[in-house]
Amino acid sequence: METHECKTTTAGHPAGVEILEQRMLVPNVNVLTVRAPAIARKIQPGQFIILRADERAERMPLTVSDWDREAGTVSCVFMQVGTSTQKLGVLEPGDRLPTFVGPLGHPLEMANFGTVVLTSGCYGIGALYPAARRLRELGNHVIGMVEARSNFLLYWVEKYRSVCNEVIISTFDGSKPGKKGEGPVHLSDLLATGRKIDRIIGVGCTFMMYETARSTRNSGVKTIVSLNPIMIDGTGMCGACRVVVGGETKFACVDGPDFDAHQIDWELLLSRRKPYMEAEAVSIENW
Amino acid sequence: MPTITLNNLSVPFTPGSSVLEAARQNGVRIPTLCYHPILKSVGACRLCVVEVDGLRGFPTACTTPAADGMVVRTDTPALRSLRREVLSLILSEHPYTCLVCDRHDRCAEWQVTIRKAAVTTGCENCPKNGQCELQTLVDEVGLSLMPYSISYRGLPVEKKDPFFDRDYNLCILCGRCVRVCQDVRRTGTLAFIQRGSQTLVGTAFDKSHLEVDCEFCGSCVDVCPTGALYDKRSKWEGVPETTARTVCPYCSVGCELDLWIKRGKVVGVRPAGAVLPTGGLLTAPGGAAANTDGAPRNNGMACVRGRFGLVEMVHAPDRVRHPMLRKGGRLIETSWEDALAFLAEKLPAYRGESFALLASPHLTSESAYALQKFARQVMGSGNVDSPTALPRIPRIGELVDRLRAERSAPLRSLLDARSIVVIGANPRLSHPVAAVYIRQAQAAGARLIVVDPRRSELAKRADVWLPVKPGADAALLQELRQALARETIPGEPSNEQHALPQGGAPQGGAVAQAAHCLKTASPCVILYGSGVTHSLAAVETLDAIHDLAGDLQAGVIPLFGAANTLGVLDAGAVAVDEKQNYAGIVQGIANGEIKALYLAGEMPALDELMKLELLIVQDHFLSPNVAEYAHAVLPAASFAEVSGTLVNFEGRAQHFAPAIPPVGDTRPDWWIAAALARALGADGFTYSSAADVWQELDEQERPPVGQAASRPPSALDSQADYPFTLLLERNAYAYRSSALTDHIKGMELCKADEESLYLSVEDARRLAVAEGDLVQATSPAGSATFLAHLSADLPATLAYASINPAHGSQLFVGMLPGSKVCLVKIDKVTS
Ligand code: SF4
Ligand code: SF4
Ligand code: SF4
Ligand code: SF4
Ligand code: FES
Repeated sequence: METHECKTTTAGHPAGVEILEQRMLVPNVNVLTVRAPAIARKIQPGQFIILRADERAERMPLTVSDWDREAGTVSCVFMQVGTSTQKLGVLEPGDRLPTFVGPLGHPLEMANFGTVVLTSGCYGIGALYPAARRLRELGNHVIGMVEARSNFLLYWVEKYRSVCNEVIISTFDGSKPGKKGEGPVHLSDLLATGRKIDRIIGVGCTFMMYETARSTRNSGVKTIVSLNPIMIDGTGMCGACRVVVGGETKFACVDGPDFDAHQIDWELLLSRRKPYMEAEAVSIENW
Repeated sequence: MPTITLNNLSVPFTPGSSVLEAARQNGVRIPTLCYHPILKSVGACRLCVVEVDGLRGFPTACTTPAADGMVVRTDTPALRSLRREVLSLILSEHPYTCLVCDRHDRCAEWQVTIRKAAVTTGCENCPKNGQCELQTLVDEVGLSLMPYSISYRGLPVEKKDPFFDRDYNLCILCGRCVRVCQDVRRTGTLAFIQRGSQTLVGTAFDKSHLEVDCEFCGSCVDVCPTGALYDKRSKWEGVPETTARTVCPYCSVGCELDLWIKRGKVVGVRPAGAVLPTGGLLTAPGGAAANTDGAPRNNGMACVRGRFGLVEMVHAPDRVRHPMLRKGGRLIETSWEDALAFLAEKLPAYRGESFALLASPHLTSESAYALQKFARQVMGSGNVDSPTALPRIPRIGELVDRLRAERSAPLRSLLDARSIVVIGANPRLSHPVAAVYIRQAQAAGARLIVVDPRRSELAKRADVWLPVKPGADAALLQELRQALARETIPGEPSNEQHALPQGGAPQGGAVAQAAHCLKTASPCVILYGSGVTHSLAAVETLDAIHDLAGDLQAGVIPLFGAANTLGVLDAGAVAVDEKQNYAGIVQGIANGEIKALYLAGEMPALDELMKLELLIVQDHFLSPNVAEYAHAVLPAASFAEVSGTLVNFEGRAQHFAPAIPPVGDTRPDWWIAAALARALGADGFTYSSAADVWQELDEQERPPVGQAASRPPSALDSQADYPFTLLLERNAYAYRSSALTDHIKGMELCKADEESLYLSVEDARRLAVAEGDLVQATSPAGSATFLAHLSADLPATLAYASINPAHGSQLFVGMLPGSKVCLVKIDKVTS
């Protein structure tokens, strides 16, 4: 694994990475763009960075959603849930992030698989976009499935349309342009048509990925999900991101973040999130 | 009793009810949204539609008066479909997805991560989830499919103000917040506003609440049926596990409050009666407070202190949680056993007059009683006092008592008053809920007469302002009585206004106007505040108030600053003898006669504390100067953790029960006094509960009250060296020995003028002081620096400042707590 501490401490410039853009795409979903040429040169789909919003904030992994190798910029789509991300959400262009390290984690496997379905929701819509772009470049037939609770929570639909062969939008409440229902339901429907699918990649909230794993289990199609459990230091030292995959303990930050969805011990994964969330409830009050 | 036929059943109803109220009286639910029992019904949401024989269409039950013999149907297919349509329309601008989502239950189980979002996009990340009236309504109305997709407003969430956030993307425009702010609180901060083509609620010109003088009473938050308005602090706490009815410990209004409890902690506060019960929300068990005679007197209201200042006080990180003893120059945490043993060894040496107790008027009656009993019976000392009045004057307890016995009036009598006289008080700051009642009475036509040296905010709202020289209130009131006697106009109430003529009338004119007002508008209620009890002429002024109230047959409400001033008086935790009062004790400490001091929630700002051989501090917080001198620190349990009684300004004893277990190793104040007494081998302190103490206290003869010796009227006369009379407003946010402004984030913002000194324009010109300059005020006792503000509301040579005594203003060093006036000279600070 490569890790590049990207400390821009050139003389005359304050330390840290400069924020170029901060925008709320839809409620709670922000896109943050920073100048980080070293990362922009190397980053591959599926990789993440670790940042801190300020000196006192905790380290936080974010999947990289877009980059411009020439301009040396990197963008991350993130959800404002919890203290750290809300601290990040209030930063403005010109502000500096004291820590911005990457690229981290293994890149997603990219090849010409044939037909690939990308299913995503929440921050995952952004996180999976680079994969859509790259897979299309490699000659795949790319089907982008994007889900949101309601149409006012949809973003980057046009960006998806520009790189995918097909885009299927679903909204839980059926608000247009969505098809009513959750993404994984439509994925099941798609598989049920008997159409040949060669690979499925899912990124979104844990619940959505769990449902994706369930709906593809019997199809035999290789399904990869990106785990976003709690990662704190990004080097496997802290063990916060432990997951059990195929009976073996893995670290999402070092061994992942992408795993075979059908090998993951979901019950364990979901049950481990709860105590952390309780602590988070206290920290946001005291923010 | 008249009857109404509801869905084929003939039932009685209270005359004057609306159809909705008649239905509720008989246990028939009609869905509502814009209705709230403390607000005037406006019929805005149209969810409460009913069918009434003889009335066309579908009238709204909340605005249709019930009539004898009326035939009403509340639940027909036509009504059900109409309600579904109405609710769908209301929800079309609301992120309703979760409301009608069929996987709602599963989602709640798995999606634990999404709750604390920056913006609410559905119930799953909404602070109101589980207590939302929309959620109840969707079930009640039976809405499962939404015909319209969401048109999300996309407004930024307002998070910059203290205490609560506002997300108007969730607002369903029921107008409850606007009505409570305008009609109930009468602050008028909120209104319907137009933003582009959208109608919204908010502040005029989209200003922040701080900019538009919001009182942060929280009433708008309390009545909001949705998550649009929500406390910052308890935003993510969710539905409380239980609630407990209690009494606010801050001021003497004694508002009834419901504490929200979770995991043994107080997580939120709502004034009793403000929040409508919804499916998920537990309603408070009624019996916790014993004063359940009718509706709570605060009628669903509170103020910023009670509403937003309790959780942080109770669970403040810097609360003293364990007993501490000074060892090797430092205070070290220890056990109760060791602390009591230490004191049992030390205290006997100070039996008699070398021991003194100063008790806070915020203590419960039980605690005040047990503490004074300890001091008098175990320590054998009469040096016991509490700052109920200016300490330099003889006890005024007798006069307060006489007024209470003869003229006491309930808070609600303000609502029936035709005239109100306020003397020496600033209730908007000190007793906000009483101030609301005054505004409501005024709106109903009552005349307001304000006696105040400065043209205070209340004076500006008054029909007649009677400016008075500090200390000369009694003379003014006598003048008013004479004018009243001269008024011969027959008692025909007239409606013409008696505003102060432009440019200010000569005193005589204003007094005559006030007399005219009072003669023509009865009943009258008189309120007096610390400007009276803490002035040098308190005795004369109270006498004059007694006389005036007699002439007018008026009720009298004393606006004591602390929650339990009357209870502490009743419990006998005040001096019986002038030498043993607060001033005497302070003097005794200074000249070394008093060697051991027991501070129960009270803290005089005195350098002399360092002279003490034994200083015992019993409180929630340790202020820095006390921390320096204290030998023993005893952690007191807060009101939320104890049972006890507070006697409010109406003289009503309000009992309350503990809501949560004690924080840390804290103990009730009465328990500590009793434990100390037992440690010293005393009998008669075997109480097992506050109720035991109350029983004993209740059986006591009222302790003898000191003579209110009459003194020559003592208006302060300016002296050449100190030409200004400075009126000092003590931080109304003081509680026990500290100030809420020091412990609660955002509280300081409501009290922006702290450490500011207001000067008349004339004086400022003479001193060449401009707005915002630094000035130094020097009294014989010391000096302090303030930011100068120019005020058109002050006469020459009168200045006004608001100070935080917990910060130990230099003006206070050597001065006595409670002082409201002092003579100073003022100099511009040139640096
Ligand atoms: S206001 Fe009520 S209905 Fe709307 S999101 Fe919040 S809990 Fe759900
Ligand atoms: S907090 Fe009180 S004063 Fe402020 S807007 Fe709400 S109701 Fe009005
Ligand atoms: S903010 Fe709340 S109370 Fe005010 S109009 Fe909107 S929904 Fe009603
Ligand atoms: S008015 Fe007084 S009793 Fe009521 S909430 Fe405010 S401080 Fe407490
Ligand atoms: S409750 Fe009657 S119209 Fe809203």
